[in-house]
Amino acid sequence: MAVASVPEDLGLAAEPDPRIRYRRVLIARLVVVAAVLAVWQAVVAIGWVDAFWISSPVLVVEELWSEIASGALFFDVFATVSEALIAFVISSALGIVAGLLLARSPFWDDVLAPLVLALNSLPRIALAPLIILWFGIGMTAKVVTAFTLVFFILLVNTLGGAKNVDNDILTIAKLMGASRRDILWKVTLPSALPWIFAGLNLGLTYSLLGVIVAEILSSNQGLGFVIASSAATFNTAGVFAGLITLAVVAWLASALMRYAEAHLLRWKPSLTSA
Amino acid sequence: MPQPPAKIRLVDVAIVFRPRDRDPVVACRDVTFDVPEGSIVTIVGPSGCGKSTLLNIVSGLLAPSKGLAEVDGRPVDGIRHDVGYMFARDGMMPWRTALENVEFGLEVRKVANRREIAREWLRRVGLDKFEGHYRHELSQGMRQRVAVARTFAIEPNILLMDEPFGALDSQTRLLLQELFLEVWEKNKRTVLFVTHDLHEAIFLSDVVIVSTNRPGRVKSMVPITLPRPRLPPAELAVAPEFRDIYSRIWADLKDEVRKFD
Repeated sequence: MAVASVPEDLGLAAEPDPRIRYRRVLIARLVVVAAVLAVWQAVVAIGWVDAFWISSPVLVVEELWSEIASGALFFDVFATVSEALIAFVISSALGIVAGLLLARSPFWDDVLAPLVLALNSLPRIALAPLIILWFGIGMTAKVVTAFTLVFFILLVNTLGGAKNVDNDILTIAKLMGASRRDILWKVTLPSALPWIFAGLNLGLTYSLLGVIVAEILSSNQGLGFVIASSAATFNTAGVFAGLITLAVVAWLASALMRYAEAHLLRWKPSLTSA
Repeated sequence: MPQPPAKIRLVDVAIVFRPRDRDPVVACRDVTFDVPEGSIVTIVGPSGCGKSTLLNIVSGLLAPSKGLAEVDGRPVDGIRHDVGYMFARDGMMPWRTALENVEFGLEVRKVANRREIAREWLRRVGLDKFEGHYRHELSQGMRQRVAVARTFAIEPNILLMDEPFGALDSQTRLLLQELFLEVWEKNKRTVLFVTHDLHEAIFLSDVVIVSTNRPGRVKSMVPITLPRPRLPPAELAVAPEFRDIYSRIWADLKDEVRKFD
């Protein structure tokens, strides 16, 4: 069969150059940010709201600068990021393994499903005080708090993906002589990968959330501690500096995740065309 | 005429499904027939007469409620790994390229030169320019070509085809039927084929088995004596011998299909 490749010239109307559009989007985005900052600064400058409550962009930049200059910011970012990363890696790995194991054993899936659901419905943040009581104010308490959130996300998503493998593909793989091991590595896992990635994206956010909450509750370092201690000393500029740093960290992390996802799931039509 | 030995044999097979909270359903019963080595035998019959189920029994995916399936004179007792199985859905793994899909069976069998074999099969089904394409980048006809290549690449002992071209548009279907026969002619594997499509059945087969309405039983077995290699399906369809066979089989089938009304 002759399969036509796309001819060179179909006389189609010229599509707008995507780079020009992207540049426009970028400029508009910067304008939006600048406008928000300008309004914020103006509100304080005019005197509508006291800088004591909402600080101001200038004050926040000054605060950020002094924290960067003293090295304190890097110290706190490092603390938070390393805790969140450790929590994320451990919880995700164990969650994925547990999900795959449960998918292989319908009996234990039946046994544990309602328990997992109950635990997963519990607002885990409520566990944080107990966890701090058990593990103290060090890194462990933060990792454990994040773990209680992220583990279940990955477990539930991986299990969902592993149970939703296309039946035709499974049948064909079995008839072709695929072993249980082949099925796991070459069928179940790649097929569940989009679900797992959805879990990882969520898990990343929740790792950070768990760590920050534990830091806010009880810590002597990290961005959560910066935010909590600044607020306690009425240093709103410090609070905003902590929040902005946190936003940047979270954004970087999810950008990295999207990059990995686009690479590993390049076979997905929605991702390659997006 | 001496009969070639039976490659696949079904003896007095019955299948009963027992859905929970409902009456048992007898999908088929008293099914006995042989598929001689190197021939294509096709089962046609109304929907729900247990055609696909028979394929599952031969492949070992399902045990019969009664009776026996044999391949090469030995009873089927468990999933067979020497069958090529195709159905209407392509079953392509969307995370693998066309080439990697064809490679899959060779990979789990640890065939060393699997890449070359897979390439060669893609070439034979006319997809050599598409080896790096993923499923969503291929048309339905191309996906089914990949399935043909994947099925033949492992050099299966027997082929089980469950309406493999059923989901294709009619032109593509004709092309793929022709392609399938062309590939088949080279090594003449034994094929048990299931379809609704009478044209397809006659075009491909050495014997057409007409099944009754549920519970499916063998109503008649019609030898197709048209010479091989067969004419392309579109040409064959207007040949007088073809029309005789067609009307004969249709007469048998019509009554069974009507029972649904």
